[in-house]
Amino acid sequence: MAAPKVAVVGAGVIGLSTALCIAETCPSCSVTVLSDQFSPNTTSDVAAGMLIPHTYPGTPIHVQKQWFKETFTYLFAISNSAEASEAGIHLVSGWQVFKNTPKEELPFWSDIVLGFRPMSEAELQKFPQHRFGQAFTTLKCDCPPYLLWLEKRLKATGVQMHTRKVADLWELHSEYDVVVNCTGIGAHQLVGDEKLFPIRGQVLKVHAPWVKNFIRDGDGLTYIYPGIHRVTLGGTREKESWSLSPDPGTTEDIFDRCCSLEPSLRGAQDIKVKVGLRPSRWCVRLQREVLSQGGVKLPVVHNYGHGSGGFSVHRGTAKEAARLVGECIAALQGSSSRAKL
Amino acid sequence: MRVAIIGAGVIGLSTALCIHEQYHGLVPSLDMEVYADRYTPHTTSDGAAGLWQPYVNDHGNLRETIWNKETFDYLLGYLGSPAAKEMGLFLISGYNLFTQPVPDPSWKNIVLGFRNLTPKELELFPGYSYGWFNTALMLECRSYLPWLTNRLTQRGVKFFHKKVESFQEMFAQGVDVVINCAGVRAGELQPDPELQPGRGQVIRVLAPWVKHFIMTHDVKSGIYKSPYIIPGSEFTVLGGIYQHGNWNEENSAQDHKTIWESCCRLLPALQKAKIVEEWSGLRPARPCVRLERESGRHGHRHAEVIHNYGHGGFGITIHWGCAMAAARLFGSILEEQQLASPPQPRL
Repeated sequence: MAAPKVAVVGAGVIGLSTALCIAETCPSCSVTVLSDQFSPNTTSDVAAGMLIPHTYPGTPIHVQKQWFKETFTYLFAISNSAEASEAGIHLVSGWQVFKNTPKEELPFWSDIVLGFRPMSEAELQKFPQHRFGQAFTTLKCDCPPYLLWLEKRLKATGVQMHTRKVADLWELHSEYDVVVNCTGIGAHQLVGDEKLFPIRGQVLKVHAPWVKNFIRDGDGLTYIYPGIHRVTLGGTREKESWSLSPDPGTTEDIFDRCCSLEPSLRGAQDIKVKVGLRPSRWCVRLQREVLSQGGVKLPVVHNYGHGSGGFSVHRGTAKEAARLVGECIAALQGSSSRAKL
Repeated sequence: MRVAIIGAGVIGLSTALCIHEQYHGLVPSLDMEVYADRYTPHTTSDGAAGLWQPYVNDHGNLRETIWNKETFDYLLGYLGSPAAKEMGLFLISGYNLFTQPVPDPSWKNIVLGFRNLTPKELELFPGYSYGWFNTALMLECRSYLPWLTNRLTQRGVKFFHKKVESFQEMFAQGVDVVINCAGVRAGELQPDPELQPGRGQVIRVLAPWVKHFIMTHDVKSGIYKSPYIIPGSEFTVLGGIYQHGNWNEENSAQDHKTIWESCCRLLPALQKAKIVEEWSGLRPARPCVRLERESGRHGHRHAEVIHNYGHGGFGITIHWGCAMAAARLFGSILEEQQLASPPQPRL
């Protein structure tokens, strides 16, 4: 088999990081990224990119922990290099505060982030409505910089990127040997996955450069995440809402909630409003599938459904997807060599 | 009563405000004037990054530790208020790094969330084997001094752009109390061999991805001779120069090289930072802060000086505690003058 041709559909954080992992693990592969949207118009661009994992009910915890650990380790190294600012990766410290003591006091990721510990009484005084809190240091992937950096790395390894709306994965069967489906919320229509649903999130991106620490309230509905140039204020979780239009009432509500956590935000300037649809699923769909029509087969690797946890586990799931692509190629090479006999 | 404050850095302006706030209503006519040849943004305070952090070793100076705490608590109280942004006041977390274990500092319970660094955190800083993490405050004087000036102006305090040559000059004009907040040049008003410049140089860069302060320490070299990185609201300050006895306010190319190379080694991401400004300043260094009254006479009049200078590299850190102590000294002057003056006949 000549250089295997792999198409990665989707150019958000999952698509681009998966393409990069495939290029890294399969240097003989010819990898192409196809997407109707690229940064700054992907769902990933709306997200703050904080490495604070979401818990998928349907994925074993040890697997989620492994994905998070791989992602954290990978980004930690970049944050500590000269590439950090270009890649948009930086460390940020802050607090997770609770009005009521949470059921589990130690999240599964507490030993992966840095310096995780309960907040002191003095620290909690800053949050009079909250009775309990945790302080830690984690990483943030600013978008667009991170996606643009991934695109640059991809181009350097010879990966092509094309703007193209793929209406049906099968349309790629004649041009590519393996297709990787990283279409996020797009998979709902593209592969008809009824288990995938949007959770609409509206955020504000404001200019408030004096905010150096993050604040996350309880289960993460309200948050303040300082990025390189802007602070992301959030948010909402509207299940099954497909609307990408900002809602002014919601904007006011988010702003008020964040100002009550951090009063100095009242002085924030230049408020930009964005909306993203979290590609939510009971578990991340990370598996192989073989499509076939009329005796012709097309191996597919699915890597979508990361919900609100895409950034936190992206490298881990990308590596797993690349491994599955390797399996597909091995299977193709096996069957093609059998065909030669 | 006429009060003249000499010096318009963080010490002069905060002392003026503290005294005016406390005594304006009590003293029939409190006329306050500020005299300085340099105002914001040209004072020593303006060059400082603005991080609240005392030296790591307080040499047993309990008075100063208390003043540091009073300042921190005072500023913390302003954090949630609408004034905070205008004051240039905000919370910041960060790292103190050492090449060997050191005792905890006197301020460990003043700052928030003080703890030792974990081994994984130390991986970020090759060459350093021990350290602290805590949350402290930033008070940027480029905002704070104008804020203090506004508050003083609203209260009717007058400002004069003038270099005062001697205390006598003030008393000859009819000033009753002089508050000496002249910083590094206090020796020109009254010789003080203990006061020396602690020259520092800083590079200001654009590096908005840096969210933590990083202060390194070389216990053998001394304070501020080891690289430090302090992110402000607009620029990130890179420093690590302390030259005792050097009065030169010109930027040195050698010091630039030292700062740039050592900070980039500490934080490789800085290599891509854009350099915006360079600045040198003279820390008013002294074995301890001079905060005391000096009583004398000018002709047949009583003449009082309150000295409040010599805050080294921790002026912002200690300023409000010192302002309150100076205000207490002012109060004692008032008390004595009341006892001295004859009781008024009651009609």
